[in-house]
Amino acid sequence: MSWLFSKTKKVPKVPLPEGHEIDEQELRFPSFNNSEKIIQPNKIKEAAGFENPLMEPPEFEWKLPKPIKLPKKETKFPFPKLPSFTSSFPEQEKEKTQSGPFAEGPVFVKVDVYQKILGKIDELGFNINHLGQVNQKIGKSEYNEEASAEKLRKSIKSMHDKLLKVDKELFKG
Amino acid sequence: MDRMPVFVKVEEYENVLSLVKTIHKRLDEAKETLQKVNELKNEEDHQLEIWHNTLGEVEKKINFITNSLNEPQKF
Repeated sequence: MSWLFSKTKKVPKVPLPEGHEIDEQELRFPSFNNSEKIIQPNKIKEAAGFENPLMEPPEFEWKLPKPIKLPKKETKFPFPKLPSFTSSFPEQEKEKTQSGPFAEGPVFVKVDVYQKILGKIDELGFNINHLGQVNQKIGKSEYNEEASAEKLRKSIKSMHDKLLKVDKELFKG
Repeated sequence: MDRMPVFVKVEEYENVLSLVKTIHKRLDEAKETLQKVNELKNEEDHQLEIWHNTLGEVEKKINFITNSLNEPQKF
């Protein structure tokens, strides 16, 4: 053994940490009410102010300055034609634009448009309910129609039978 | 100060578009069905008209027979 390792380092003794009782409550994840995170449609409507009539912004008259007439300069040479942008458009970009400009990322809609959409959805709900009621009426009417048709069939058969009888009686003599 | 436009963030925009597309398809199907029902109703009306006319003819003939039978003649 060399003299390097023969010397032992003196390490001060560190006292071990004392344990303490753990409350079970501390180890649990904090519980929160999920319903608070879910925003109900009614809340969205309230937030968007669906009930309130939309305030139209005051019309602003734009006054454009009078165009300045520049003296026309005749050029000797015509301007060169610029290469068309779409011709060099990569295929992937084309697909992206075809699938929609909002394919990725958040999409926003103007509040007034959003309110109109909500209104239309409400109206659609009413219309569909109305159609359901009409369907029920048609069902009842069809049932009645079927019953009436059956009645008609029976009466025709009865008429036919009676007519045959009369025919038989009359041709006896 | 000019009013700034306010926007609402639309989550799952693609899903909404897909749903609207499906609704359009269902609407087209409903239109086709309604057209068929209309054609059936027209056919039904036509058949009922035939029924009405035929019953009128039957009534006339029965009346004639009744009248003829009510006035017997002896030869």
